[in-house]
Amino acid sequence: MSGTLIVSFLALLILSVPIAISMGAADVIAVFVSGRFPLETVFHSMGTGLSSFILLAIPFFIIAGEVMNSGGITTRIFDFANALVGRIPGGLGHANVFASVIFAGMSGSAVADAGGLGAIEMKAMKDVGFDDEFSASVTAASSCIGPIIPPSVPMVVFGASAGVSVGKLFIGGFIPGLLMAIALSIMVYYYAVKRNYPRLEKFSWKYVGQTFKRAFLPILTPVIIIGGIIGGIFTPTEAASVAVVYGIIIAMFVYKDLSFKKLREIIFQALVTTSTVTFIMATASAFAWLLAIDGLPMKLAEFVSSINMPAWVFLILFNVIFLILGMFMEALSILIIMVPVVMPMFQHFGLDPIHMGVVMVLNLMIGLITPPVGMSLFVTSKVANVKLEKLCKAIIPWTIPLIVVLIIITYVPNIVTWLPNLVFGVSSK
Amino acid sequence: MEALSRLNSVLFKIIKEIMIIIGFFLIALTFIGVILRYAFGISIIWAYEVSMMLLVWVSFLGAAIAVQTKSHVNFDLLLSKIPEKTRKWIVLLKDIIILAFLVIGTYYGYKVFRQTMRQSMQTINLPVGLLYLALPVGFIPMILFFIEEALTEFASNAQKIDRGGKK
Repeated sequence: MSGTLIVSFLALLILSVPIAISMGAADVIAVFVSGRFPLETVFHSMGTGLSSFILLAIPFFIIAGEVMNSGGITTRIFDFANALVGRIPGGLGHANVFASVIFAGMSGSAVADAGGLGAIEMKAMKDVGFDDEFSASVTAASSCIGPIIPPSVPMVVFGASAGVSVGKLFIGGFIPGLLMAIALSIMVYYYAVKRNYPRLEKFSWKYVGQTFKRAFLPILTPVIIIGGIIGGIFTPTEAASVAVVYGIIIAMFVYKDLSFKKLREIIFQALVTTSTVTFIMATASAFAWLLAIDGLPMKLAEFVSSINMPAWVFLILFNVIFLILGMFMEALSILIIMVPVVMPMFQHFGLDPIHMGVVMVLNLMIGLITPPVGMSLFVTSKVANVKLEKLCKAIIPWTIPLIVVLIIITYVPNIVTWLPNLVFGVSSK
Repeated sequence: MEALSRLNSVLFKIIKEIMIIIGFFLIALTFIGVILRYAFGISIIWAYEVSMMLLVWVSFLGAAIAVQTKSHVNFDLLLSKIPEKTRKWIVLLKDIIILAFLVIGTYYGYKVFRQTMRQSMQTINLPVGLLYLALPVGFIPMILFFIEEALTEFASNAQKIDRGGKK
């Protein structure tokens, strides 16, 4: 049955049938051919496949990010970031990276960062004389930080598919996210010195204080989300709902940046985006169920163990495979399809699923800025009005710092697991 | 064709309104749940089951909308490399497969809905069937949206060929 299932899935995928329907139709074909179950079971498991409360965090974090992504709020965040790091050679380039870090604390998706905040960052950089390709590259590369620093939609998907704690994954991404920011800032510094880019005239605590006061309410959002989860006050889903309500209040009533009509649109769009993910999860759950009946994930893990591969070789292969997959396919679909396949392998090699979850998501986020299929790249090139081919070339050096961070966190798992173990204790549930 | 697109735009609006209402309801339910638990130590026991049911509704209604807004994720790198003449037939095959799946889904989704109507949810007195009703109710507009999209695509391809294959 697994054979029919996988072959028909791949065939449908190549015909460019949407991924969700490729899986669903493959389920139907495999069950029909085997004749072992009535077809109802396929559709029955599509309903049960979504019974996980954590999935509700997906639309909530998308809504929170979009509500905060209006011009008024992102400008405040960007100004504060600039006041703080704008004096370093590379000026607004660093502010771009740092603003992405703050924004990452309220938004769960990289594409939101590249779109809304990115537009403001790139305009500001253009105004003081940075070239478009540089600005667009920094914006796209720093948008990858978004789903590494909590909250994070891909980590919710990983946690739900792997059955591990999303709270732990979130906290596990915190230090790697900061490392990415540092690595990108080094890159900005390097170019800034080489090309003599502009920077702030002088650093002033007064200016930092002023901009901080203006950005205070939005900056409180990451504090509520991350603090609430670390403090054990909220589950990630609850934190997400609190962030949404808080965001709506400040955007609508304090800054008056958000109309009710716009809010309705945001909620609608967020739910449609969510459905494209959860619809795949629904059809994938029947798929995973059929594979499990044949014991395929276990057989695969046994095969891997039979060739006697050391863990460090597995990790190299893992990263190479997921970097390549991330270049060609959409990140969340890869997670949904591949997590059930790789989980038994993690167990075999004694790898912590929290550690590997963060590594896997980082791999796929690098895929967002690499051609041919890179959502952040597409969005940034559109917003920045830079030709996609040009940006594809300009972005290449920017993947280097991110890959360095990837290698570091792959081989030093403590960078990921130290903080969540400190907060939640050692078990992975 | 025109009647279909008019019907579809009405359907789109109705589904959109339903989804927005579900969205507000889910945010409010989860948020009020947090407040009640901390302020009064009360928990809404049915919140979990009802939220999960609504998430299934969002998934299947949203999947229909996503056909109209072309938001579904697919892998079209290979297809775009195939010459136009052959591609036409592949697209036709693809469309037939998708339609067949959606029709089968509607039929069996409805069957599962009927079977689970007698089952009650654990924390609230609602039939489990309400959850599965989302399948046929989502699949039917998905079929209609999809037919419209396929016909539009087909028409624009035919036009291209009329003009000697020029884009």
